[in-house]
Amino acid sequence: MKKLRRTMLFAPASNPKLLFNTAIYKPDCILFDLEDAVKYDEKDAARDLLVEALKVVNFSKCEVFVRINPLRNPFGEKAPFGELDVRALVPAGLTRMRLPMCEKPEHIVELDRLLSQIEKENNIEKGTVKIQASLETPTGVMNALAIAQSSDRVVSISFGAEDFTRTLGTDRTKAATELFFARSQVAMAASIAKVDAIDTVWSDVSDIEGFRKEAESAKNLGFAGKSCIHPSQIKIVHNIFTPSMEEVKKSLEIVEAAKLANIESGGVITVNGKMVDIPVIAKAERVVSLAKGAGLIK
Amino acid sequence: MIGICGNEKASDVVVTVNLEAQGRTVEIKSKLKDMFGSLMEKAVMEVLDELKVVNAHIKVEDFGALDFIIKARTKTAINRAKKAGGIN
Repeated sequence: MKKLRRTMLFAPASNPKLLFNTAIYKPDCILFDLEDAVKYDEKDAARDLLVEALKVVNFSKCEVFVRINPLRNPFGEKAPFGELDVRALVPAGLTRMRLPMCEKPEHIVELDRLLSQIEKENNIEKGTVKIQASLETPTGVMNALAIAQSSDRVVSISFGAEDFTRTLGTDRTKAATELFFARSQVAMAASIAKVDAIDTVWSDVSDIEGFRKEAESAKNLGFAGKSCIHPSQIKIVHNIFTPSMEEVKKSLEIVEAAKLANIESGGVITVNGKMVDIPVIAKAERVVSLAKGAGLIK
Repeated sequence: MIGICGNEKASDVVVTVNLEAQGRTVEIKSKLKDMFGSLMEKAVMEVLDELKVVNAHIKVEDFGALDFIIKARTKTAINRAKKAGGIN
């Protein structure tokens, strides 16, 4: 059954309340932030809060990610907080982390090596900790495939539109034409690398219709889910990224008919008067997998 | 050698650590002290043990924080006090 990552809800790790009540909103994933949402002189406090929370809080079915601070600054020098974050969080039980401002495979390789070292020091099985690479610049987007394939630890790549448009030298618009190529590139790279693509945040919480349109376009482009900054956005994304019962019923019929006809190696059958071949079966299997993940069927 | 961490907000706690003390003392200010004071002190002591701190006066001003938050704030405050005193 596919692990669903339809929603990834941001929560600043510096806010104690959010550490125990974010799971109440039932996002598929929680992304506790140690990076941009936390002031420079509160990085130590946020990290300590998160470490203690990871030891005792039951996050229910939510997959917990942490956006760590970068390992390198924009000049390629070692940054002050990234390694401290990793060294504190892995022994506390964190198994998913987002690396911000990832621009090339070497950034992932460096984190991979650090994780291997920390896993060994703490008797944790090698490869336990997985990575989400955050692509937030034109360079990162152009290297999306190489980044996604740079380590077995990479389980998803995410797109960050705010930094992307800043570095591109443009503004973010509601039409999002400036993002079309980048979002397509990220979704395609994720598909080739067989990892999940997670779309950018929508900052205007009050513009629900704009958010809905962007979430729909993310689904159509091939993203597995969308980053959210407010609990009110979760239901909207889940509705868009979860197949309808009608779709599920049709897909189950196709999968069952394909199984009976034994056409995995090729050929065509007819289901309810419509031609069904290998790509249609693959799509139906994806819908069934999503439906199982969302708890619509067993 | 004083370190402070936390905020005067609901579900949080302000912990002040003074490492220039003899032995360990814990001072708790909380509306819930009668009910949970001993648990709050226990949380603080566990952090002192973990960080091997022998001498410290810890002031805990509680605003409804869970144990893990008290522990985290205590840990940060101790490390900030050590940093202020030039101790790594």
